[in-house]
Amino acid sequence: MVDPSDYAADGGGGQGKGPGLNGPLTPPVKSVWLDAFNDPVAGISAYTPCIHTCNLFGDGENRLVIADEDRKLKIWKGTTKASEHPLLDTPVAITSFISDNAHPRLPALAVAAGSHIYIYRNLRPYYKFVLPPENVNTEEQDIWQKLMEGEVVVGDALAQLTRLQDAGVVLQTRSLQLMNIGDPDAKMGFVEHWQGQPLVATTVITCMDVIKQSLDEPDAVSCLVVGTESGRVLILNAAGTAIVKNIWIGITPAMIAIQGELDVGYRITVAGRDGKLYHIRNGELQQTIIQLEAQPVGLVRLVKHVAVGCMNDVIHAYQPNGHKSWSIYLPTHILAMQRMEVTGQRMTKALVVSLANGEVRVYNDKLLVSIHSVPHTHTHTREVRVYNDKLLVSIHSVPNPITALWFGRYGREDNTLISLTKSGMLDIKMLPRTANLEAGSVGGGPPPEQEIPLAVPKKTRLYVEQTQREREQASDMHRTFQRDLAKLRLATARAYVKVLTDGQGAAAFSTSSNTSLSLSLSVTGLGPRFRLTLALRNEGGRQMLEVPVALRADPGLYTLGRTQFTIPLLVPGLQYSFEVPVTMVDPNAAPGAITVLLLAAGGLPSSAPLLQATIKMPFSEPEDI
Amino acid sequence: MGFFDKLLSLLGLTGRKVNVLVVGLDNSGKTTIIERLKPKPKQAAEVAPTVGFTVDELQKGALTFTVFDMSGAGRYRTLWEQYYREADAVIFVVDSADKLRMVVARDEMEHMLRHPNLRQVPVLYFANKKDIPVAMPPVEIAQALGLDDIKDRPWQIVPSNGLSGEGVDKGIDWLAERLGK
Repeated sequence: MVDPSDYAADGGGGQGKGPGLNGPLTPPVKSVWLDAFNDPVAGISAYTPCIHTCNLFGDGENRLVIADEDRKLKIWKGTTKASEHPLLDTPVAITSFISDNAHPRLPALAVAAGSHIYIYRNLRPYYKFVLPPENVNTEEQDIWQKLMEGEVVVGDALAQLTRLQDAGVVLQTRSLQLMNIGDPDAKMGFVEHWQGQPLVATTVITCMDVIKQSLDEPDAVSCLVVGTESGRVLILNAAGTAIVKNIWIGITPAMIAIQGELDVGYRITVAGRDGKLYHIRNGELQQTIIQLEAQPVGLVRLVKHVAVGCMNDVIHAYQPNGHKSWSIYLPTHILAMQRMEVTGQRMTKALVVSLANGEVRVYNDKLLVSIHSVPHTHTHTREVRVYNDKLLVSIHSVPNPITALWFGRYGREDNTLISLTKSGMLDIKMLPRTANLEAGSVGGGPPPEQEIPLAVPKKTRLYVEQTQREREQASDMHRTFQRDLAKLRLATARAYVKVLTDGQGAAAFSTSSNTSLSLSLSVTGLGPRFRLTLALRNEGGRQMLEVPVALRADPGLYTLGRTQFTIPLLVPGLQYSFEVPVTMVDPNAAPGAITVLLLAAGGLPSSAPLLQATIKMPFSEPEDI
Repeated sequence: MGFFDKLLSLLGLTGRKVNVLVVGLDNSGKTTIIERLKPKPKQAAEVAPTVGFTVDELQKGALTFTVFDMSGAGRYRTLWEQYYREADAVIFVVDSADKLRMVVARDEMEHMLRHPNLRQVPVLYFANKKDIPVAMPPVEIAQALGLDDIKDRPWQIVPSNGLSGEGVDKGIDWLAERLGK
């Protein structure tokens, strides 16, 4: 298991070697965007589901529609706010859909709030869709029935409700409210207030999107898809007046991602509140359920994948069958995610992610292709200019995190990125026609060297023949090789043995290039006084001067007449003889050995002896008195 | 004037053909401006978005303009560079009221000026749609497009109104003067 902090420290893209935040070593990934417009005091407060652009009036110029948290629908045209319309409830999501094939295509704007979908046409309220009530537990219904008819007192009803709750029944808001009222009079008043009204279960919308009816074209007829608090996904008809599909999931959908067309075949990925991904295929809930590592914060459909951003700063991409294709490890928290469907020549489907440090990143598959951040509200104009240097910004100014992202056609420009920040800023960027969103454009991805082919030489005749021979006589070659290997091992072992035994015998010779000597030792005498004779011969072609000789013996056993002496001259070819008297200290002891070392001639820096010979001393006679 | 033109053509002084490339973002008014350059009876009242490009021939003084009216739609902008080599002059039309896409116009313009096939030809900028109340003045447009940085070729920015034809002749006169040299 890899520690997530490793990724955080690395701070890069999916490859693990993407650009760091301010990493001096990695080349900085630049922004691909053109800065079209920025209003730091737009005063908008909305999240990704509540921002949308559409051809609102059918005049070919797309308006920006924002369902603000302050219960206002804000319409922007170009660089100015065109109008504001009050909403009845706090909006949850907005989108637009085409309800019929009439010309010109006029999209209907759908604003989901509470348990209603308010549908606007030409920016005028047109229709209100109300979610159907859910089934209520019959026992709970009975309790209320009896309570309102006065058959049971409030106290008994409360006890029954509590018992129901303990049994695992999810009670309705009305029951919960009653249980939370402390004052008995207020309890009575509450029951009185609901007198005569049957207990119904209302639910609210949690997310909304659209699905194309039968054609995958920008202005084809489309239907609304909503997720409800009660754990359902509802698909409405094209007019938005009735439910055509009601899919029970059992857990509240937090986000939905839709792929395909209603009449042809579709797939809805649902990110549930329980941190799991559910799949709906052609109206059927699939068995494949993906358990995420952390709660999902963003869900975006790409070409073949569904990308889900989690609270542990990771984006996973899953295939429809549930297999994970890739993961992107981010340096900090994900605030918003949006699909970036580039129209024009390229038809790229990329992913835009805004991070807690103010950055907005664009990923094409898992390759990082762009990083930018929006200027902070209160920075001076000059600082903003510095800020165009993108990466420096995070050092200089407090990040201005982006809370909502939208990519689509705005005004007359197809590829526009609209972002809203926490401080209420509206920022509009456009993708230039020549922007490169492909692999390897900037940072990440395989290095460019990978594309350069290696200079492999041509196959020569010799090479071909050699290969042929290797193929035909493989076993012979193997046998030969093994035999040679065995020989090599034997030679090595012999050399090793020689190294170990050299200098252990009474005779020794060396035949190195410049010195060639032979030495043999002999012992005469019965003991305890012996005479050690060194017979030395220079076999080389040059005389040697000043050769030191050292003798070694256990001083507890033998006393040597001299332990070292120098041979003044060794003429080649002559036999020299030197005698050294040896006395055994204790004639009764076991005999030892004497080693004679011929050292390098005077002045030579070598510390290794030229020659070494060892003689085993014989047993000694007892000393006569 | 007609007599004079005839005289000039007899003397062989007229009829020198110059190729003028008209570019700019979609909906900036390129085709409308070209309509205003045509003689009154031939002018079309309504223009539709150009698909690909159209070629027109116009007479202006001693010069015959062959005008390439390029489409400004995003998917046709790649066509522009095919005609850079032949261009003797470029007319770049900007929608003065489209503040939002000024940055896109600048991006396209910079790409054009950087293109190796385009010679050091004069560039005439029409700050079109000057009648719209929110239109930016030519000075601001010149600043937004970074025209002051163009040092290697003659350029001029002229506010215009393609619907009424106001300013169009002034710009073309400048261009004719440049090309007549």
